[in-house]
Amino acid sequence: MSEAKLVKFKINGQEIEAPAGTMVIKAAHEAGIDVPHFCYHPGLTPDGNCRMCLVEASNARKPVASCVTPVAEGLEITTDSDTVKEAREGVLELMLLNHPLDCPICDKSGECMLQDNVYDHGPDNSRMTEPKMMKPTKDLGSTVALWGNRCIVCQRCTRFCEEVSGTGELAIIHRGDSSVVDVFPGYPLENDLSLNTVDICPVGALISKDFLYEARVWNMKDTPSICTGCSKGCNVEIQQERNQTRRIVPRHNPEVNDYWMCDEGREVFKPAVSEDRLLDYQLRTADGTIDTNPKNAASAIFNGLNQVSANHGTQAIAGIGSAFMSCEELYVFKLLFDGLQTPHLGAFSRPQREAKSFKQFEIPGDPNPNRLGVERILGREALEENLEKILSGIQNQSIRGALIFDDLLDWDLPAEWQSALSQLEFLAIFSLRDRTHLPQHSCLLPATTFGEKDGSMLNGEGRLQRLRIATQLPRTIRYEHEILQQMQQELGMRSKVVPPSALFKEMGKAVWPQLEISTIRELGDQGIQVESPTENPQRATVS
Amino acid sequence: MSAFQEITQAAREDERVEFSAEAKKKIEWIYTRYPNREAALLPVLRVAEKEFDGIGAAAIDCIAREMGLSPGYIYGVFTFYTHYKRAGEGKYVLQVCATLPCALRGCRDVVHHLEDKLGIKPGETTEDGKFTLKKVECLASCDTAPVVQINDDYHENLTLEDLDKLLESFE
Repeated sequence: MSEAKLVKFKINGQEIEAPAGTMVIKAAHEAGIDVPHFCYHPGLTPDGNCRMCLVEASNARKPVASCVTPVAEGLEITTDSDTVKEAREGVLELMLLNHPLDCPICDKSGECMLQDNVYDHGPDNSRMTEPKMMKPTKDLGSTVALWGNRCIVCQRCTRFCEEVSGTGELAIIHRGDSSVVDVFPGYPLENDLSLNTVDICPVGALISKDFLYEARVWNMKDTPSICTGCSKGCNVEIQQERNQTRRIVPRHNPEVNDYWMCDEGREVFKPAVSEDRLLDYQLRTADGTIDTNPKNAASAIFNGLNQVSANHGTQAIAGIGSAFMSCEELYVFKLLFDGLQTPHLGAFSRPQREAKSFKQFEIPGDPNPNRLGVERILGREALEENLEKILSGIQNQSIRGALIFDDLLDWDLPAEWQSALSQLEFLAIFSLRDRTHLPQHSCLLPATTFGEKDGSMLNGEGRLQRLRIATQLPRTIRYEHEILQQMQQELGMRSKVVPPSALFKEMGKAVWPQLEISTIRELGDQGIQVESPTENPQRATVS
Repeated sequence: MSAFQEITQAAREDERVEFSAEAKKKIEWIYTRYPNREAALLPVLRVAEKEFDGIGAAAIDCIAREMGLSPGYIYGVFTFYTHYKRAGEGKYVLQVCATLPCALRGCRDVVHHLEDKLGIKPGETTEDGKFTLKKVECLASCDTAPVVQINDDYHENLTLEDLDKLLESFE
């Protein structure tokens, strides 16, 4: 499209330029002119079935659907004439013929395109006196439920299943006013992208079973961030209400995830709100009591590691981070262990899985959001070689103390690690879960997780993207980077604890000196490509 | 694969059907006459209708495998049209035209007569599986109204006596 020649045309008298072949609705939206629509979605091929986007064009006698009308030189488009207004009213009156008035109990209420369009452009009453059509309410699969009565048959979901997921489960069945979206009996909507159909449904016909009746959308606050479910790093909007994440929805980023994300990614906030989440510090003191004061965490770990290093030498301590830590955390972690003068620096990562490929979407095989960040900051060997060295070091008792990050989602320490760790003299674990089954944990510290951190992560394609804080930490928990920085203070390496934005500055200079990114703000909402994706092909083959 | 999917697919495998060699040959010929598989679907549905004596879930599943289309797509197309024979319909499908010219020429009497005679309402099938009664829209034979289509044949200018004779001939 970049080579397409620009054509000049007018919308409501305003001169606009757009590449030839652009549809009028897209050009209008880009120029900030509102054209109401239902079936048009910028990520799908235009269909022109809902007729909501009718506008007047100088080359047609009747109003035309702007989503299937390409721009042309000298074309004059009118979007606010009486004819257009009348057409919109007519279309909306027909759409409302069979649409129930159940907004008060509809999950979509508040983000419903029909609600918005009727409010802005709709008729003030209905002439319909017949009973409304009744259509089924049922499950379409394990994630999505159908409220057939609400369906306006825009076919966004069926086009999604054909064009993006390529799985084709959904179809419009029957015809005329009986038509409704449905699946073929026995072939439910079961693909890894199924919940995108809920996002693009302009009404409340397709509903996420997970989010059903969880929250009202107008009560939720949105925070742009990235998904930490895998190395793709889909851009998302974290939606929280009363400091609890309720839902994650994809955010448009043409370079990463387009308009979509996978179903699994929508679950990444679950550990943060899980009931068995570890919330208290358990710092074992010399006299055997357990201290729970988070203020003492840094000194407890520092003293523990120091004791080991005094008894057995600095080589006897190890640090194991994880591919779920932000770049800033990894950076402080690296500095700290350099300061402690130990070469034993590793990082846990989740094992590779099979990559999944859909027609227009890839789910990479690497389920670690910041593996590349670990490689750049701790070194490539941290993920494999060093881990093995540390494990054998612990087993042959040359390593006697360790600080470990166990903040990976849906992952448990492998059995050999569990037994090895129990042999240590001193062990500190940042964990999401209560690890009382580990016989000896000198310090157990709650880890922070998705939606709680500020910082950055490097996705599998070499794109540095921003994590933002959506929900405040539970009151008992401190940030890991703060505790690590306090330990640096004890070593005399750092004068005061600084926020991740300041760490980003330090890190940017040290890790990517050739890049001139000075503040985290420059990452913006879409991130910055810091490495060429061709140099870093998806690391599906690492294991 | 979720539990939901496993159960439904297992059920599907039990009732799996296949096209005969003859039908497959016919379908291959149909493919040569259409630009793509989607376009060839309507005539293939006709083949399946004859092959499986009415189209049901198993038949759609079979067509999907044969044509490489998603079962959902075929289901959507199939349910759009009313003129394909559904699985479970009787040996004789009586389609009574109920559009205006036939209505003016007494199709309601025809429907009522059939209802009384067969003991079923439009859309139902007799218990012995012999007759299915349907009220349909225009059969494009207005000049010979009222019209009833029974399987592939038109029966035109019907009187109730003609109807009785017809039904008897199907006994």
